[in-house]
Amino acid sequence: MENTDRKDPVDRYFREGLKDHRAVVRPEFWDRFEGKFERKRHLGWAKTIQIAAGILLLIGLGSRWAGLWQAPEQELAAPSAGTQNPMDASEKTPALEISPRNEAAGIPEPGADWAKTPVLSSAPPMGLRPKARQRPIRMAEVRGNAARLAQKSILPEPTVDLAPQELALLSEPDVRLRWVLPQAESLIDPLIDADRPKLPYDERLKAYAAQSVGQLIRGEPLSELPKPNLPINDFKKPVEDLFALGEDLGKWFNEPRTKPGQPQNKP
Amino acid sequence: MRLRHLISEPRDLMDRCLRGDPRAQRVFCETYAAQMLAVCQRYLKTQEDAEEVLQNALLKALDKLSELSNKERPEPWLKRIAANESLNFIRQKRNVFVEIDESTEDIASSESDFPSGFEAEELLRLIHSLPLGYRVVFNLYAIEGYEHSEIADLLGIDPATSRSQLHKARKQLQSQLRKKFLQTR
Repeated sequence: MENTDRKDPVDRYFREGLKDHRAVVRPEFWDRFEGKFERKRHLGWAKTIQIAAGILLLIGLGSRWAGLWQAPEQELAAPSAGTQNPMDASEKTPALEISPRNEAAGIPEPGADWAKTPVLSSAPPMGLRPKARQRPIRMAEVRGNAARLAQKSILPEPTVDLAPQELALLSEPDVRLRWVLPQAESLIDPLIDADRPKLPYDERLKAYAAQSVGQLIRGEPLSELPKPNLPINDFKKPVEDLFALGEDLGKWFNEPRTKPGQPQNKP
Repeated sequence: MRLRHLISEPRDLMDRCLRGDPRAQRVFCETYAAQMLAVCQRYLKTQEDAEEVLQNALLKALDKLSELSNKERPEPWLKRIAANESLNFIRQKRNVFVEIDESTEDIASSESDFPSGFEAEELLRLIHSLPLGYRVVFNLYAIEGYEHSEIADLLGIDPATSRSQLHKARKQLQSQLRKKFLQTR
C-alpha cells in the first residue's frame, strides 16, 4: 500500500520540483537572529555559572555533612567558640558536660554500677542542634568526668593572712567570721540566679560547698541544691561527698583544740 | 563570512561549533539557513512565520549538534529539525489536525498531465493553497518521506486520517495542476 503510494505522480512531481529548493533568507532576518543568538550565548554562560555554583554548593554542603559524622570527638573536646550558639561564654557548658536533656536518654540512677551501665543511645533528644544530635554519649568519658569531679578538692584553700601566734589566739567564732563566712559569701553571689548558671560546674560546686559550710556553721538548714547544668545523677555524688566534708568541718569546729598555736583549719 | 573560506569540510565546521566557537556557529547558521527556511516555508504560509521558526530551528540545531551522527552530511537532520519546529509552531497556534470526512473519488492521472518547468515558488504557492491539515500531511508524506504511522504519531491523529488527508491533498493539487496545464497549453 505504502509502496504504491510512493509512486503517486503528484507526490513525485512536487518532490522533484522542491528537491533542491533553497529559500532566500532576507538580510533583516540576520539582524533579528543575531540578537537572539547573543542572548542564547549569554544565557548559556549564565546557565554554566549557575550549574557550577550549584555543584560548589552541593560540595560544600556534602563536606559539612560528612564533617558532622566524622569529627564528633574534636567537638566533644573543644566546643566551638560560639558562632552558632549566641549564649554568653560563661553559660556554655564545659567540654565533657552532659546536657540535662541527656538525663532522659538514660543516665543511671544514683548508686548504679557505672560499669554495668550500657552505652547510652545517641538518639537525638528533641530540640538539640543537629551537631549535638550526632554526638555520641561515651560512658567511659562520663565516668571519668564524674570521678575527676569527685576527687577534686572542692573546698576553697584557706587564705588567712595571720601569723600562727595570732591564729592561736582566735576563738572559734573568730575563725568562722574571718575565714569560713567571707569565703562562702564571696561565692554565693553567682548562685543567686540559679536558673541561668553563670559559672562552670566545678566553680559552682565550690560555691555551693562554701555556702553549705556557712550554713552548717550557722546551724541553718542547707539551701536547696542549685539547679545544675549537669544531669542530677552526676551532680549528686560529689555533693554527697561535699556534705560529708561539711559535716567533718562542722565537727572539727566543735572539737576542742588539742594543740594551741596551730590553726588546724584543714579538715 | 570571513571564516567561511577557512572551513571547507562540514565535519570541521561541526567540530568547531561543538567547541563553542561563535564564529563557526554563525557560519553554520548562514550555511544551512536557506535549506531549512525552504522546509519551513512548505509548512507555513507567511515569510515572517517561516523566519521565526527558522530562528528557533537554528538555535535548536546548535544546541543538539552533539546528537548529530553523520557530520559529513547534516542536511537531512537539519531539515527534520526545521520540519519539527514548524509543526510545533502550528500546534501552538491552533489545533488543525481534525478528522475530515473521507470521500474517495480517485482521479487517474499521470505526470504528463502536469505542466513542466514549474518553479519551486509556483509549487510552494500550490502547496500553500491547501488547507493546513492537508498541507502538513502532504509535506510530511510526499516531500519528507514519513510513513502514515509516523505522521499519526507526530500529529496525534489516526493513521487513517493521515491517509484521508493525503488523498484529499493530492486531489486538490492534481486539479490545480490540471488547470495550470490547461492554461499553459
